[in-house]
Amino acid sequence: MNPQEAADRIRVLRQELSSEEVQSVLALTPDQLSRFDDWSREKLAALAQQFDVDTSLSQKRVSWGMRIVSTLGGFALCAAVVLFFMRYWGYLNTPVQLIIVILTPLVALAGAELVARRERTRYITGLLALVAVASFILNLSVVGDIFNITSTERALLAWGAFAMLLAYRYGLRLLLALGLLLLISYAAATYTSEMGYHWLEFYDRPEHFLLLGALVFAVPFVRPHVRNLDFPPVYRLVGALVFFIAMLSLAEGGVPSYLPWDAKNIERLYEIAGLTFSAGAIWFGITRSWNGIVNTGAAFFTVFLFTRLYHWWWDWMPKYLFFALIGALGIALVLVFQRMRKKMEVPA
Amino acid sequence: MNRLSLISAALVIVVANTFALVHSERNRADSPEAELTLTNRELQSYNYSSPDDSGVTLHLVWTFWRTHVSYETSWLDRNKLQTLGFDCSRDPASPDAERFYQRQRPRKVFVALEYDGAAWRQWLESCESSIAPHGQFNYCPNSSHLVVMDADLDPIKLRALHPDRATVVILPALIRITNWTPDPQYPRQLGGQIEQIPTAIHVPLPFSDEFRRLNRSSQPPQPFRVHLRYGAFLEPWVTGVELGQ
Repeated sequence: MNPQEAADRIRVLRQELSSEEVQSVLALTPDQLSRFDDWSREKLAALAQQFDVDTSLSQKRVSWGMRIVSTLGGFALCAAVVLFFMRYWGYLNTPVQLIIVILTPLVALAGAELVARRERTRYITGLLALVAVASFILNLSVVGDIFNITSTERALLAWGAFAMLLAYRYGLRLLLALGLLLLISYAAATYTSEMGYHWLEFYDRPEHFLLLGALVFAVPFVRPHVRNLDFPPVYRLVGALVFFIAMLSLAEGGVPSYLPWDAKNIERLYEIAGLTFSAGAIWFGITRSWNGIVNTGAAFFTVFLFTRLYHWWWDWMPKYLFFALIGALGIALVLVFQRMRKKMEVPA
Repeated sequence: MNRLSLISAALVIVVANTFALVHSERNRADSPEAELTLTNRELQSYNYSSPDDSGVTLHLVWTFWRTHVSYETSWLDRNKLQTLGFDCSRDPASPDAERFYQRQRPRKVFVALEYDGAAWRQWLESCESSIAPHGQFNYCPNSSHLVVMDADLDPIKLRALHPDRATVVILPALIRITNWTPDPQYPRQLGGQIEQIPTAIHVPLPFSDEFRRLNRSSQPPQPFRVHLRYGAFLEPWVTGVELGQ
């Protein structure tokens, strides 16, 4: 359990114990109540002191706002750095251009480190770390441009490794997701290049991404995260999204598959596999209480189902009837989910 | 927080930049792989220093047979495609040929581009015979004189076949196999599509200032010549710029 979850549980318990309904069935003595009150206050204060967790609902709402603002601010700053450089770099000679682009990510990294030592919430740290990654991407791109270096996939490895290091150092989930996507792209591009093809064709064979998505999904099983307790859901979500998007693209256009079959058969295979795996993800997510995986599985199950129905019915059925049937199917799915939900009810 | 991850992050930046700078130095260290002078026909820029991007980048424009003639007269035929590693075993006219060739991914090769040589003259002749009757008299002679004339998996072998370093430049490229017909009346035949030749050439100071002085609104466009060198890794750099009147 991460510190925020611990604080949430204590806060809810405090609320419940103070409600008249609970007090009517659970009568604590004034002494017990007082001791619980003191303990929970101290515990929340200690968690707030150590991890800067939200101890009230209002604080949680404000924190969400800060998270959104700092992410948007980070993206805006990245755009500002890149556009500022592009506007003036042509008037600088090559050594000055090199000094600026190499120093920028190092300065942003130093800034993130300095702020991280003073800030527990990591909003400004996250913003500066994002700028450091964007500056490093700009750095290698500009050096490549200046010397007309033929592009290779190795830049993806450097960017991915840098993003992962910053993610783990400062506990930043956005950078973890970015780093994982860059490393997945690097692995696919390297394999493509080793096969004798151009590395930029790496997205051409989605089956690479099925394997890589599954591997990323499996990382938290192999490597437990003791310090960054909120990282395993990011691994699972990135892995699941990469896996299902690859499967969807194979189901919709089977031509780029490695399988030596007719395109139609490959599409059918991946449609069935997509439905099976997304249903499996819903079940797995429910058993493990992984909300992200339940939602991802449900979203892809719906997409796989509707695309299949589209291929079956769109051409020969009147459009109004097609949409009416989709609507009816949506209602049927809601009823199925309602029954599933009812089965999970705690018995009275 | 221990300092190891911080030092590692800084090291990633330093190592990646060192790698790029050493690579560039090695490219330019020995005698150039090719050295040639191209004109504004072969090097074009869509934008000499705009308000949003002050850099000057030229783009190599090249010509290939496919532009105007059928594959029968192209050097990139079935035999050449086989030597480049493509599986050409299926009859191009067979019903499953389209999928068979569509499944083959483009391959990394090296191409030889000749400037203003025999390949260009041959292309011009063919172009004029096919285009001129339609009234586009200026199109053929004003096209890029840099013509893709050969390809191989080995750049050294390709250079040995085309040893003139003042007119022939070797560059990496991709070739995609195509099962194509110039006219639906004729049977399908195998050909190759050339892609991904690195075309962007950065123009540093002081040469970029010359381009900023160019009168962009003049018609016809103000001519220029750019001296280029290609190094050991087939990567170019600008060594001089001459603006014409």
